[in-house]
Amino acid sequence: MSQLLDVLRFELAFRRRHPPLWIFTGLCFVFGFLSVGIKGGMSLFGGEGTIAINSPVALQRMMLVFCLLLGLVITTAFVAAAVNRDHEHGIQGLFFATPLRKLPYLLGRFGGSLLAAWFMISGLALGAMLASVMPWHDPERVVALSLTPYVYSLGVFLFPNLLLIGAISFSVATLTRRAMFSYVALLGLLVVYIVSGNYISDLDNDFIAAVSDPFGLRTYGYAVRYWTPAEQNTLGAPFTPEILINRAIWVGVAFAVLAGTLLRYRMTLPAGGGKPAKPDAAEPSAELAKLPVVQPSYDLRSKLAALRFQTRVEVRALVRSAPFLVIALFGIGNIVGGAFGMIERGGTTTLPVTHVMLEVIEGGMSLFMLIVLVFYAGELIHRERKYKVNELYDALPIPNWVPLVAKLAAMLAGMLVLLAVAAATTVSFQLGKGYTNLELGLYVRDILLVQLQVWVVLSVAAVVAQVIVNHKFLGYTAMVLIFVLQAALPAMDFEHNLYNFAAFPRVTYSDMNGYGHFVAGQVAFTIYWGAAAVLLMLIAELAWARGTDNPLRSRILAARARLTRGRVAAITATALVWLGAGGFIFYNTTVLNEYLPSDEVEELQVRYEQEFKQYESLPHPRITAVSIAADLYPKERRVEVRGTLHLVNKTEVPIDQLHVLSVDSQIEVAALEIPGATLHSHDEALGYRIYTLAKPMQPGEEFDVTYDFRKHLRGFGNQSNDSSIVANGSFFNSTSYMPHFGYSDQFEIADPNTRRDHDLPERLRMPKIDDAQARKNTYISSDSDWVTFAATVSTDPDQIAVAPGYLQKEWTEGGRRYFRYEMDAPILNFWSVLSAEYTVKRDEWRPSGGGDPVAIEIFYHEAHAYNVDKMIESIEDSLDYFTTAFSPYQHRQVRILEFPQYANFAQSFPNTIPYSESLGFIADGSDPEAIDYVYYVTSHEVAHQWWAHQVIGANVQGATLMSESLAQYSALAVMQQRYGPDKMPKFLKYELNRYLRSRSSETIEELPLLLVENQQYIHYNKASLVFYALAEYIGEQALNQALSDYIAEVGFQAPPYTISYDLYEHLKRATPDRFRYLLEDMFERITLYDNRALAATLVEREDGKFDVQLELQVSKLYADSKGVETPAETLDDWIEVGVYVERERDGETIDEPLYLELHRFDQRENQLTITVDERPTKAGVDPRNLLIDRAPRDNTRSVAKAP
Amino acid sequence: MSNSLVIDNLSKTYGNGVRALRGVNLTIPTGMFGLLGPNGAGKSTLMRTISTLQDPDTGAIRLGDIDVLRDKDAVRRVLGYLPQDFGVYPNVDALTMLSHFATLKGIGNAKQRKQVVEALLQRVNLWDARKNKLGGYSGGMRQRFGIAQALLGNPRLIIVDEPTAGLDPEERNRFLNLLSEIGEHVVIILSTHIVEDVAQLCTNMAIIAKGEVLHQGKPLATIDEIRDKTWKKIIARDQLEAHERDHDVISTRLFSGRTLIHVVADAAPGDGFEPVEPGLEDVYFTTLSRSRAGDKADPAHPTRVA
Repeated sequence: MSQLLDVLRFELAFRRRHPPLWIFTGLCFVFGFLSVGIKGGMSLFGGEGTIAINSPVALQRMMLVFCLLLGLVITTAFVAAAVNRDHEHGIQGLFFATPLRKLPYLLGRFGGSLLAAWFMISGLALGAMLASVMPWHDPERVVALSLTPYVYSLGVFLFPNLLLIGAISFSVATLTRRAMFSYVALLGLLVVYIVSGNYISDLDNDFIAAVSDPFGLRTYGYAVRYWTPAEQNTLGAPFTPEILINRAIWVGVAFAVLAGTLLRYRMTLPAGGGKPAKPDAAEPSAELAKLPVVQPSYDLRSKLAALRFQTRVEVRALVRSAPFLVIALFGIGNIVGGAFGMIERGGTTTLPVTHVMLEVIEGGMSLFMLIVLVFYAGELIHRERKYKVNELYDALPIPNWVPLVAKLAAMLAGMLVLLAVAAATTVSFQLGKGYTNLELGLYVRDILLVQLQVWVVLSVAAVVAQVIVNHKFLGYTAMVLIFVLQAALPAMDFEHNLYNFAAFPRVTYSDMNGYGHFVAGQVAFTIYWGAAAVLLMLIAELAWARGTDNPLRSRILAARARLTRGRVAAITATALVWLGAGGFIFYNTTVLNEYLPSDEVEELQVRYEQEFKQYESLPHPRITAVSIAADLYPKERRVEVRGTLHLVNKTEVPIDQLHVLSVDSQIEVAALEIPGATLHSHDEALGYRIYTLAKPMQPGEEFDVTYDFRKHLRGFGNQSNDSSIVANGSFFNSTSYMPHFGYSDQFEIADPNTRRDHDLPERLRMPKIDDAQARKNTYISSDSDWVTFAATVSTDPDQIAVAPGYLQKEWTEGGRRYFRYEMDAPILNFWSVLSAEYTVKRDEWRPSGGGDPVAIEIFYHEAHAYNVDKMIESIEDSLDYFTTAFSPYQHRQVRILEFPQYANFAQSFPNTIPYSESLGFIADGSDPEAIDYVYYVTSHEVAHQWWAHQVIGANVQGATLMSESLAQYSALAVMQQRYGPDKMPKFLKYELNRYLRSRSSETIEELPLLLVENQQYIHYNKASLVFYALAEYIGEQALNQALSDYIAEVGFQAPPYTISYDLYEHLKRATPDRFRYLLEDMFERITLYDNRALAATLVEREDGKFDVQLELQVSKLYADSKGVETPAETLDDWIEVGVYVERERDGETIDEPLYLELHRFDQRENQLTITVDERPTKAGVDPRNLLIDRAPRDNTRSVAKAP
Repeated sequence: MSNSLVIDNLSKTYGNGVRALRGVNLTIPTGMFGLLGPNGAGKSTLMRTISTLQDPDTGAIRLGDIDVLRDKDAVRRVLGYLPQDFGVYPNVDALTMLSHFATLKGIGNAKQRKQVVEALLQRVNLWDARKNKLGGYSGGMRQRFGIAQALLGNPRLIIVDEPTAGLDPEERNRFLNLLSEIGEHVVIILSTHIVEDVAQLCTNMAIIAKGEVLHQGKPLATIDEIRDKTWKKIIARDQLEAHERDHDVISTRLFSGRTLIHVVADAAPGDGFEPVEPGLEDVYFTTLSRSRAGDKADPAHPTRVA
C-alpha cells in the first residue's frame, strides 16, 4: 500500500511539474468559460429559450460533450503514456530492477495519471461556474449558482468516463507498448457510442441504447428527455435506473480491463528486436560479384518512375498499417449502423435507394476520414525521421516534389479506399435488403465528383501543414485550428464559402432532377479549392525540409533559392486560376445571386418591423379573384408570372394608400399596375412599396391590379438554396409570386431572446384568441378571404405543368405546352405551380351513396412507382370516410404531385397535393409491422381539403387545432379503419414520445391545445393522442357528428373567422357530463398522468376462473406553461382497467384483452379484483395509454401468482 | 578531370551556439581518406555538409568541377552516403528496400536495377538474407546494407560516417574489408574516432577536434614525425598527477592494475621511461594533447582521451 502511494505521489508530482497538465487544464477552463460566457454558447446544449444558460441539464450536456471530445485526447495522452514513458525513455529496466511490485507500480501510475486527467477536465466546471456569475448576462437567462450540478457531473459522469477511457488506453498501451493502439481502441469505444446511438430513436430499443452508451450522454439525455424547461432549470442530479445501470456497466468494464492488464503484465523487458535474420554467411565470397556499370538517368521519366515507386511504398505504408485497417473496420460498422438508422426512423421504413446510401456514406465516414487524414499526414511526412532513414533519403538525387507528391497520393489513395469500402458496405446492405436497383454509376459519380473534393483539399491541407510547421504535433494542432475556424466562422455570421476553408455549397441529389442546378457551383468550387490546394502544394514544395539542420532562417533561404523562374510561373499561374475561380464564384454568389449572412437578415427584419409596423392596422382591400399566366422555362431556370388580382374594399372606410409587399428579393417586379396609384416610396431591400391612390378607394369599390413577376435564376448562390425553378421538378407557391397587401407580421423576428438583443418590444407569438381585429384574417393570409382562381401555365413540351383547378384545355403553341386550369369553387388564396416530366396514374373514386365521381391523379417520377397504388388506396379510403363522416368534398379531383427532395414535406393546396420524393415515394411498404406512413400522410393531406380548405381558423391562438389537429385525427381514423385498432398503439407511442420530448425544448411557453400557437408538438403529436382518446371515450360516431356539425356551421365562412372555442362548443355538446372533466383536461389544461400498476396478483378460483388482484396508482398532474407541475386537487376520473392474455395470431404475438372497462377513480391508491375466464398474462390501468403519461410503460405489469 | 574534394574555410555555428566547424580547410584526393577525431569534434557536421544535408555559414566545397554547396543535385547524383546513425523500415526486406533506393537514384530500367541490386547484395554478402525483414538485421548486417545503398549508381564520392561504432571485431573487419575493396578511382571519406580504422585503410588522413583541422597528411609519414620521440612508462595510479605535471603526457591507459603512460619528448626523459615504437594512435593523442595545451583554459573538454 505504501508502495502504491509512493508511486502515485511520484506520478502526481511528475505531472504537476509538467506544462501539459496546466495547458490542458487551461484549455478545459476556456471551453467551459466560453460556452457559458458567450452569447449562444449554450444553445448547442439546450440552453436556449426559457432554459437558462447555466441550467443543470444544459451544463451537464456541455460537460459531457467536452469530456468526450477533450477527455478522450487528454486521458489517452496522459494515461497511455504513464507506463510507456518509462519504456520510451529506456529507464524501465531501472524500475524493474527495484523491489517494486507489479500492482503498486501499475496502479500507482494509472491512478496518478487518471487523477491528473480528472483534475484537468474539472477545468470545465470551474470555467462554467465562473462564467455563469459574470455580470454581462441577461438576468432572465441564468439561474442561481448551485454546486450540485458540477459535483454531480464530475462525480457521476466525468470520473467514470475518464476511468473507462483511461483503463482501456492504459491497458492497450501498456500491453502493446504502442501508444497508437490505444487511440485505435478508443476509436472502437467511439464506434460503440455511435452505433448505440442509432437505436435511441427506436422506441423499442431506446432503453438499451441509453444504457449501452459508454459515455453516458444518451443515458443522461434519456433520463431527462421529458423534463420541462422548469425542471431543467431546477433539478440537477437524477439517479434513475438507466443512469445507475449504465454507470455500473461501464465502471465494471473499466475494472475488468484493468484487472486483465494487471494479470497479463510482466515486469520484464521485451525481448530484443523481433525475429532474428537468418544466420549470416561467414566471410565475403572470395570472388566478388562484379558490379555492373549502369548509367543512371535523371530525366523526367526516371523521376516519374521514382515517384511511382515511392508512391507505392507510401500507399503500402498507409493502407497496410494496423490503425488504418482498424479504422476501416470501424467505418464499416458505423456505415451499417447508419444505414439501418437512416432507413428505419420513427417506426417507418424507407427503401435503401442509392442516394440515401450515399448520404449514409457521407455522414458515416466523415469522422473516420478526418482521423485518417490528420493522423496519417503526420505519420507519412515524418515517417523517414521516425525510422531514421531521413539522411539516406535526403542525400538522394531526387527532387523534393517526389516524396511530397508521393505522400499526398498515398493519403488520397487511403481516402479512396475508405470511400470504396463504405460503398461496398452499402451495396451489400442494399442487396441484403433485397434492393437491386444499385445505380453503381451514381455511386461513382457521387463519390468521385461530389464527396471526394473536400477530402482532397483537407488532405492537402494536412500534408502542407505538416511540411510547413515541420513538427508532428504542431501540425495536428494546425489542423484542429482549421476545423475550429471552419465551425467558428459561420457561427460568427461569416458565412461565405469563399473564405471558409474547404467549404463547398451543399449539393442535394434528387432522383427527379439529378444533380441539377448544383453542378455549376460544385464545379466552380472544385476549381477554386483545387487551385488553392495546388498552390499550397507548390508552397509546401518550397518549404520542404531537407537535411539535418533546418532553422527557420535557412528554410526561408532554401525556399528562396528553390524559387526558380519555372516555379514562380507555376505559382503565378495557379494563383491566377484560383483568383479567377474566386472571382467567378464571387460574381455568381453576390452579383447574380444575393449573399445575405444571418446577421444581415436579422438587421433587415429589425428594420422592417421598426419602419413599417406602424402601418399594420391600415385598412386594405381584399383580393377576391386571382387569375395568373405562368410561363416556366425549366431548363433556363426562368419563370414569368403575370397575374390579375381583383381587389375589393370590404372595409367601411375609404383607402388612400396601398402597401404592397413582394417578399422574394430575387424576383424582378417587371410590372405592377394599380389603377390611379402612384408610387410614393419603395424600400428595395425589403420589397416594400407604398402607393398613394389619386382617388381614395371607397367602401365597396373594386378594381383589378395586374402584375408581372419574373425570376431568372442565374449561376449559383453561396448555398444554392433557391430550388424552386429547376430543370425537372419546379415547385413554387403563391407566397413569392404574388404581391401582398398590407404589413404582415410573419417576417418579424420571433425568438424572444433575439428580440431582446435588438431592443425590440415583446411580441406575441400569435394574437390572443379574443383579439377581434385578428379574427378578420385566416392564419394563412392577411389580404384575402376566399378567391376564385384560374391559371394558364406553360412549360417545356416534355413536361406537365399543374396548378390548382381543373384542366380545361391543353395545347401546344410555339413549341411549348400550355395548360389552362380553372377552379369551380372558391379557395383560399394559397396556390402552387409545379412542372416536371411526370408519369401519371389515374383512377376514379365513386361515392358509395352515388353522386359524381372524383378523379384521382398521381403525378410521379417514372422510377418512383413503388407506392403510387398505396396513395390511391389512401385517397379513396379517405374520401369514403370524410364524405360520410364530415361533409361532401368540394372538388371533383384529388391530385398528388411529386417534387424533388429539396424539401421534405407534403402540403395540401386546393385539390392539389405536392408531395416530396423523399417522403412516401421511396417508403418501404413491405414491412407489415412498420407504420404505413405513406397511407397515413396521404390521408392527412386529403383531410386538409376539409380541415383548412373548408374550415379555416382565424389568425389567433388555437388556429391550427382546426387544421393540423383535425387532419391528424381524420387520418388516424382512416388508418384505424384500414389496419385495425391493434396497429394504433405503435403509432401513438411515437406521438407520445415526440410530444413529451418536444415540450422539453419549448422556447417560449407551452399552451393548452385550445390555445395552441402553431406549435407542432401540440397540434400534431398531442392532438393525435387527445383526439384518439376522445374518440375512444365518447365514441367515434359522436365525435364525427360534432365535427360534421361544426363544418356545417363554419365551412367557407366569411370573416370573422372561426376560433377554437367554436369547435370546443361542439365537442362539449357531444361529450357526456361524466367526461366533461376529461375534455377540460385535454383542451383547456396541460394534463399529465402518472398511472401505475403497482401489483397484479393472480388467484386461481375453485370454479376454474381467475381473480386478478390489482393495486393501482392513479395520479393526475397539471403543468403550467413553464412545466411546473402540481397535483390535481380532486380526482374523479374514468380510466380503463385491462387484463390481457398473450396469444399467437398470424405468427405475431399480441396481447388480447380479456377484460377492458372504464373504472371510476377518486383516490391515488386503489385496489380492485377482476375476474376473468382465462389465465391472464398482463394487467393494469390505462393499458392502451389513452392518457398522457410520462412513464407509459409502467401502466401494466405481468400478472404474478400469489405466493 | 580532377576528382578531388576541396574544402575551403568552412565554418558552422549551430543555433544553440555550438561552434561545430571553425575554418576547416582540407583537400581530399581520390582514395580512402580518414577523418579522425574525438566525439563532438565536428566530424558529422562536416560529413553532412559535404553530403548536402546542411549548409555551412561560410566557406566553399568543390568536388572536381562541382560547387557542392550550390549544385546539390549534381553532388547527390555522384554521392554515396552512409550516415552515422541511420535506421531502416523494420517491415521491409533488403531486396525491396534496395530496389527502392535504386529507383530513387535514377536507375529506372527494371532489368538494370535488378542486376545492380542483386550484384550489390551479393557483394555485401546479404544475398542469403535479402528476403528478410530489415528489422531483424544485426548491427553489422545493417551497416553492410547501408554500404550497399551507398554504392548504388556508381558514386564518385563516398562518405561513411562512423561506420564501425558498435560493431564487434569480426563484423568490423568484415566491414573494413568491404570498404577497402571499393574502387580506387573515387573519393572515400571515412570518419571515425577509432584510430585503427584509419591506420588499416587510409592513404590520407586528417585529425579534427573542436571544429578545427589539427593535422593533415599520410598516416605513415605522420608516424615518422614522432619516431624516436615517444616514450612509455608504467607507474602507480597515484603517481599520475606528478607525471602529468612534469611531462608531456599524451595518453594514459590502465595496464594490469597499473597505469601505462606515453609521453612525447625530443630527448629521452629518463626517470624510468623507455622508448617505444610509435603508432598512429600516438600521433593522434599527441596532436590532441598539443591542441589542448593550446587552450588549457577550456575546462569543458576532457583531458584524457584514451
